[in-house]
Amino acid sequence: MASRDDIKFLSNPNIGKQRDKYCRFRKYGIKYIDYKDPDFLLQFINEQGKILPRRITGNSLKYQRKVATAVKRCRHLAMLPYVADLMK
Amino acid sequence: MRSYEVTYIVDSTLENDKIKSTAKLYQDMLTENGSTIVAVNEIGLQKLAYPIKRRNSGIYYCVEFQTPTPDVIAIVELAMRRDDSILRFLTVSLNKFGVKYNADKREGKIGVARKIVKEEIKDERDNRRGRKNRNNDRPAKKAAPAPAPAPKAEPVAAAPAPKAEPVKVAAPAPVATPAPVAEPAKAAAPAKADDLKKIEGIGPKIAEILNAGNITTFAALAASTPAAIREMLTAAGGRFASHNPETWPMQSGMAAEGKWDELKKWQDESDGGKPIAAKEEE
Repeated sequence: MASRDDIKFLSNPNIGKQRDKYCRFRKYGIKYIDYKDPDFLLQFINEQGKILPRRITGNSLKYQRKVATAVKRCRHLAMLPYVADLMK
Repeated sequence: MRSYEVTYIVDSTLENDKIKSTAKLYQDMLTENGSTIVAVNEIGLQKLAYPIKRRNSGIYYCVEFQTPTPDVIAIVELAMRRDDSILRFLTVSLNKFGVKYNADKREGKIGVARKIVKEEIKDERDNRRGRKNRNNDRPAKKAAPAPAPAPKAEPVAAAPAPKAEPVKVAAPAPVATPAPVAEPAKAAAPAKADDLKKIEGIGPKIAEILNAGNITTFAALAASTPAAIREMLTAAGGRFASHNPETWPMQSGMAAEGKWDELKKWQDESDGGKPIAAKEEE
C-alpha cells in the first residue's frame, strides 16, 4: 500500500500557500496606538504613504480603524508625509 | 477629570529663549485655567515630513494634562491658532490605555523591557496560584532576576512585536525544571515529574510553562489537548505562540507507555516535532 510518505511531488506543494494573517494588536495585546511614533506606523503604509488595507495587514477592523486614525494624526503633525515617493 | 494630550510644533527659526518661552506659555495657560499637567514630553527638533509655513523643521512638544473643564482646550487652541510661532498643534483625549501607554513610556518600559515583562507575568501567575515561594525552591536560577514589584507592563505598541527577540540567550539555565513542581499544595500531581524536554518541540522554557500549568508528567501531557497547550503558551507570552503543540500529546503518549524506541524513530522522521504528514518530500 502506498502511504502518504510514498507520494512524490514535482514541486513543493507548500510553496504557493498563503501564510495565515493575524491581527498583531489582538495577538500581542496592544491596546493603544501612538500617533507620535512614525516608525511604528510605517508598517501600515505603502511606499507612497497610503494606508494599507486590512486584507494585507491582517488587522482586525477595530484596530485597523485605530491605525488609520493614528496615521492621519501623524500626518497632520508632519511626522509622516501626506504624499510621498519611495518612502521605504 | 479626563485626560488630554496636546502636541504642538514650535518654529525652530526663533532664538532659543523665545522657543522655550513659547512652549512654557501654553503650559502655563493650561495650569492657569484649572488643569493639572501630568507630563511634558519635549520631543525636540525634528525634520518635518513636508514644509509648513515655509519651515522644514520644528520643535515638538507634547503635554499630557487632566482637566475638569474641557473649555480650556478651546482657549488654548485659539491662542495657538493666533500665534505665528506655532506651526501645528493637535489635541486629543486619552482613554485609559493611552494614559497607561504614556506612563509606561515615561518609565522606559516600552520597547526595551520586554524580558522583565515576561518575568513579571510569570510571577503574577504563580502568585495567583498561591505559590509565592516557587522562586525560592528553584536552584538559583540565574541569580533570580528579582523582578521589581512594578505593575505589569503591557507590551504596548511602540516596539513592533513580531521581531522575535533573542531572549533565548537567557534561557538555558533552568535545567532542573521538574524539581519545584511536586508541591504538597498540588496533591493531585503524581510524585514523580518527567523530563518533558524529551518531547520534540519542547525546550527548557516551554517545559517550565507546562509545569506551571500543572503538566509535569508525560501522562498528563498525553491527556491534554493541543488546543489547551496552545492556550497555555499564548498566555505565557507571544514568543511562545508560534510553537506548534499539535503532536506533543501524541509523542508524550508514547513516552508515557515507555515506547522510547518508537518515539525516537518518530522524532527522527518528523521535522522539529511537526506532524509527519506536513513534512516535505523531495
